[in-house]
Amino acid sequence: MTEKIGRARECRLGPAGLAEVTEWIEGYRRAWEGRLDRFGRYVERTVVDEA
Amino acid sequence: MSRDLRFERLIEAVPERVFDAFTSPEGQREFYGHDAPGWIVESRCDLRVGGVWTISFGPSPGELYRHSHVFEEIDRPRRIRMTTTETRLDGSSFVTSVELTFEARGEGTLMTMIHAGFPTRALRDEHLVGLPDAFARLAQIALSAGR
Repeated sequence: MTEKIGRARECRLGPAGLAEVTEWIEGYRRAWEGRLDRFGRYVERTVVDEA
Repeated sequence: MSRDLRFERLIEAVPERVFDAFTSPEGQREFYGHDAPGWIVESRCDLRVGGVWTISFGPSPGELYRHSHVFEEIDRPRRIRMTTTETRLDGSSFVTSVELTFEARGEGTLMTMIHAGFPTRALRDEHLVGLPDAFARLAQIALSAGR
């Protein structure tokens, strides 16, 4: 919801909407963090295998 | 409004090794891999500036997500920059910028991944469709407030 007050525009997002946004970002973050971790383990495994 | 997400991992291998693994077919499949039985990863990579790396991945042929990365910069073994389009199961998509850096840390590598540019960039490129409604609302509020 937005409301113009003088020269400023005030923006508000309810708690439910904000929770939804936070949940989406958290899921996105978990997915990419998991990929980086998995890739790191893979590289370390191949280095050990060759040693 | 823009949110950047930053990921870091210290990997026990030299930057050249990590960089080469990330740009190899096996390393790229591993990046998108999963322990779930039957997990599918199909990867094709044209490793050059302007080239495209496309990956389809998911638990079954009927449930595949697609990422398409266009290489903006390839600086072995230090940096890769890509423009990434993520496509969801319903066909909707959005775009982010992804930067990967590979910094020597002793005998290892600090691999950093920064995702930037959403949601404002997504809005600018009209790729916001597919984000949750609330996320879209938040972004649109921020955009309209900035006008």
